[in-house]
Amino acid sequence: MPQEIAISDLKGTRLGVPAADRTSAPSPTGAQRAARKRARFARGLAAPGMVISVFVLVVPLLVALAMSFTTWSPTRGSLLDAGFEGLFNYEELLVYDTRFVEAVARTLTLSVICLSLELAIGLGLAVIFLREFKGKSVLFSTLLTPMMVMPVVVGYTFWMLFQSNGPINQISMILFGTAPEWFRSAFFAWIVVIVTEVWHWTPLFFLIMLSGLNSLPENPIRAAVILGASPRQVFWRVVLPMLKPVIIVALVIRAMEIVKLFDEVFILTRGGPSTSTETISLYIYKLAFQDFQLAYGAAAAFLVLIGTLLMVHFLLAPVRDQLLGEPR
Amino acid sequence: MNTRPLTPLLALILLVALVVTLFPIFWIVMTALKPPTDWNAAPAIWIPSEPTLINFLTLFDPEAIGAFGVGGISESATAAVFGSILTSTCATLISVGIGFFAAIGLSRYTRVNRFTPLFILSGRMFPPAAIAVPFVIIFSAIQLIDTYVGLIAIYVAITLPFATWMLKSFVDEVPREVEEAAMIDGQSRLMAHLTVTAPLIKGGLFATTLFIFILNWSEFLFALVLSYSNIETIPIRLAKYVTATAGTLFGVQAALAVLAMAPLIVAGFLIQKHLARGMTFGAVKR
Amino acid sequence: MTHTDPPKLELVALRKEYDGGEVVAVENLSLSVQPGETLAILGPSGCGKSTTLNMIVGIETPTSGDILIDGVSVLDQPAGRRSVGLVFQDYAVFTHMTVAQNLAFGLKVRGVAKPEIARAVGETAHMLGLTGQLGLRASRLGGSELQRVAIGRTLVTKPALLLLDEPLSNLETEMRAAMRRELRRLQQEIGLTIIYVTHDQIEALSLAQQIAVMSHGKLRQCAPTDVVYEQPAHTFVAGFIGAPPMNILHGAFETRAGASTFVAGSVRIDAPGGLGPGPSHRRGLMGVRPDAITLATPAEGAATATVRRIEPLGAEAVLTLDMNGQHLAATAPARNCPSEGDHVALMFDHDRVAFFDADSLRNLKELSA
Repeated sequence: MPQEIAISDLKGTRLGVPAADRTSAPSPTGAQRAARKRARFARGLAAPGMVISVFVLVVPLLVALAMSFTTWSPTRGSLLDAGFEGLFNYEELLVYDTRFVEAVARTLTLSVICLSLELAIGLGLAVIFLREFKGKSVLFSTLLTPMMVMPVVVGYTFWMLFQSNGPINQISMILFGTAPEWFRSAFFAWIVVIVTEVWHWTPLFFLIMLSGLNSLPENPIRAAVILGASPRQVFWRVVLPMLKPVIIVALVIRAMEIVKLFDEVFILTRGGPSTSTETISLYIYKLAFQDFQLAYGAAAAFLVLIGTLLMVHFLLAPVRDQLLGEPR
Repeated sequence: MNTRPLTPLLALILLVALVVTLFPIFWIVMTALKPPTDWNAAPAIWIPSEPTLINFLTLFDPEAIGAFGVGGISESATAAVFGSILTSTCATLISVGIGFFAAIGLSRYTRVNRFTPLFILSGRMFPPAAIAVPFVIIFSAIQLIDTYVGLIAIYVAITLPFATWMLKSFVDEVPREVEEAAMIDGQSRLMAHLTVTAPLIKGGLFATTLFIFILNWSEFLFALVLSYSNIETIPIRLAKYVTATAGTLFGVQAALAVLAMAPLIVAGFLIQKHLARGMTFGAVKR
Repeated sequence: MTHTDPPKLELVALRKEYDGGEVVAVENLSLSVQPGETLAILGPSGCGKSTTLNMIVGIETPTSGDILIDGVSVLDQPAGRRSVGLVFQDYAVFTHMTVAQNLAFGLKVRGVAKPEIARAVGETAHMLGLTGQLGLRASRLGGSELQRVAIGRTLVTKPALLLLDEPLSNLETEMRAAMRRELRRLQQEIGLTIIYVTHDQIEALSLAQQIAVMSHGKLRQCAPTDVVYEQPAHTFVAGFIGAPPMNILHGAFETRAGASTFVAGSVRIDAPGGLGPGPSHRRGLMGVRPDAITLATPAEGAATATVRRIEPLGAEAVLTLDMNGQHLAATAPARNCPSEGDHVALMFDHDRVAFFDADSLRNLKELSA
């Protein structure tokens, strides 16, 4: 655009347009100056965010990356003196560290179980909310409450609920005549973690699914009805596919959060009994802050980051445009 | 679409959902009102026969509960409440302030390519336990560990991507023409954005501020590894009621939990219609 | 032959209210469509024409009245069981499916066998020129292709009645003409009964055999195209159809010895007998199409007017005339046209005038019938 103005202005000069006419058009240097000014302004807007990101995210990440190629720990002197060990940590993690591999597998299993439950329940509730009934808006707000409670509080609340003399076991005694020691068995501890996560985050799915359903265009749904589809067929063949981008966005965002799941598990089970509920974040925390294997922990974290990036990249591929908004 | 009424089965499902949603909240509120004898009674006591505020009093006056024969609390929660308010408020205001300018930049002056969101999201993908490691090292070196400034800096960094993308989605909805009109009228770009764009997304700024506040107020892991004795936040304080010598102080812990979650629930209701947008980085609008 | 068949579609005193009767979208609508006929429902936006379509197809329920298809009430049948197809204005094609999947949808949900579906889809795609696009995702198609998919998707289910809601309004002008030709071809090839909603009178005039004109939820007229054009039942219809619209002259009827004459200034035209009992002199309106007015030199004509403005339109020109303060539009050959300020005599084509009651604004022919 600035160049175009400059060229037309030059042509004007060559054709001998009177100087008085030319003054109204911006001179080439003026146009360039405006463009430069605009670019400088844009950089100014981004600068504070960039500075923060660089100093508070990029630098620590680079430090962690550098550290992951050493076997440094705080007991072994300065990080600057640590020797380069190549991919030693990474090899150790992937080949020999069964606890790491198990934690990764456990986290993935947890994601699949929790996300399926949260999606199914959240979507089911959202579909019910397409109907009209009394007290709908109050119920809507109430059902969203769990996602606003801080994770630590959620952790302690469920810890109290699942005490051996807590209310859940009281109900269980009445219904089944028996009640487990929730935190003593790997299986039951798992159930507590899953129940806690599902309680905490199903409202998010409910919210996103309801927003998604309400913003679907109505006419394709009507068209399907007119073409003879039953309500069930309309839902599975038309509504659900149209909702797919929203579902994927919700799943990706929640999957990222589960990879980072720490607070609730830390409070509920600390990964126990033994390491049976140890998630990947909890394992990295223990490596770094209990065993002080900082370099090794950093390497584990980078593996997780790479895995998550790949997962998100491929999952988001079909809906990237929507996440970006309308292309300009 | 023709809207249909509820069937009895669907009404029952909603009732179950309501009970399941509210039961844990009901339980923690009831526990906060229980005297120490009821905290861990077997069988569990659902509704305290003599509700008391002693747990709330104990939060700020550790000696108060001594009347019930419970000891072992040496510190009040005042410092934690102060710490949470200070870090959350400062970090939120800085994050939203910086995020506003970054959002304008992204929405108006930058061609967003397909990797930009991934780049921004990647900051959110790294397990916080791992980012915490270099932070501990760097902050120790520059004496920022165990300080509010350090914690605030981290909170700003963590929430900035959320603030930026949420605000960008609001700025995107403002037509460029109104800003351009102001610029043609002789305002500088900066003034045009501050006096025209900002008021137009007032609601969005409010929602983003509360949303970021919820995130900061809830943060646990960084506070856990970056605080020793000088600073404290509510989530850290909550954890300390477990390790006290008298076993778990359920009632006191519940009282602090209720105090901690009440403002978040209120904030959540206030920004209800923008929650989906915030949680999905602006991908799902209303 | 057709008169022995029951009408394909009959609407009987159809009424639709919203908000408990506060808004009446459609009021006392009765009309019938014969098999193989194309009816255009024409009216400004908000006149109730889309609501009417939605009731016929079954996605809205009438407050009262009945809908008969082949003489049988379909009110108790839900949408999708009425053998009525509807093509939406925005096409509402399933963008997550391929063209073939879109076309197959109606048969698939009915559980039709796969080979049968494949045959029907192939046939329809061939008819609509979509064979090359069958494997494409519908989200990649352009406007006229989407339109064809929307129509094809409906035709595959062999509906007894095809409803089109503003089918051409989202297309570019050029595509519009092509689609119009295509629709006419389909109409002839399949012999479908079509109801067609539009606010574009050219579309209505060129595609339909019958036109139903609606305004404010009421049916103003439902008649063959030429009747609607020449003998509008209501001054609203007269003003809505034709560009420029029909001229309406204000005057009076004078009845002497059983013969009536319409008088407006220097205009005197024989009005049809049978004005009915009434005062010998009463107010009335006369409608005349611009092309039913012939201009002549002043001496010969019964009425004179002044040319106020001339709008050349190629072969013809539209003249705005001032006749004793009443403005009229007339067309004249562009090459043989008076100039502005000229006085001209007006000759009205007596077979092509319509008379309206001054109070009800309805055509006198309708009133006496």
